[in-house]
Amino acid sequence: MEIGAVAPNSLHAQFEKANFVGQKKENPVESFGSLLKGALGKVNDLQINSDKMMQTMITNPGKVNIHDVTTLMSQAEMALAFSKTVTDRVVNAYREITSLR
Amino acid sequence: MGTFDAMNISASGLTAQRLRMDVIANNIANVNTTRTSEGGPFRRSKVILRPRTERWNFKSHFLPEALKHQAGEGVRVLKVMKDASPNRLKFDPAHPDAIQFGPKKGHVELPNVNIVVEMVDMISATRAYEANVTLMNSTKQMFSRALNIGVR
Repeated sequence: MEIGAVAPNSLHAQFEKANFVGQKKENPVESFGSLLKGALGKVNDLQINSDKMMQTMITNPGKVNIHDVTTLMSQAEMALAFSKTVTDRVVNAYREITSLR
Repeated sequence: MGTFDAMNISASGLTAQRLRMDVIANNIANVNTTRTSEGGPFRRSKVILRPRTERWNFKSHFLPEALKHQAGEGVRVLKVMKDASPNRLKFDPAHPDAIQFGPKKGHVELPNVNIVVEMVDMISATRAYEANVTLMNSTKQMFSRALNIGVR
């Protein structure tokens, strides 16, 4: 037997199988909706951070560097553009499927 | 590598160049300062930079290559230190800070700030800042190009 090869009936394989089945029963696969919600929450956090930074820049310009504000702003913008691209593509795929005939 | 790593690295460069600019402004503003709280004339400051590697003390030969952060993590300011080069001497016996005794009697010690050197440093800091901004814009452009992959 090769080093590292696992026989199908070995204890290790059984353990893994049992674990996988148990896990599947407890947590079903995360739905696309909840995944998207989580991702959007992170994107929103970036937006909130950049907003806070912008407010600090307006109320107390000596406290922050302008380039930190603009960097955060563009990072938030990039994250939003990415999530928009993802949703657009999913919606497009859905349209493709619904228009099958 | 994360999506924003290049931007964060450029941001560290921007911060460092901003600090260089502040130090140069202070040097130029104090070009004629003959009295400081430490005694003697003002001394020119300079900024010492070093690469920022957050995990530098855990670096090990046993670490797999894939775990090493090969691109680095940007720059940080190690310290702002005083330039120890000799001060300028100017003959001005009427000045209140003129040397009263010894062979240099009647001379005033002026700061070791050379306006021309500061000017060159200022241009260098400005250009380095610009380069970092350009890099950041290019990173953003690359990102938006990547979003357009496969668009019909």
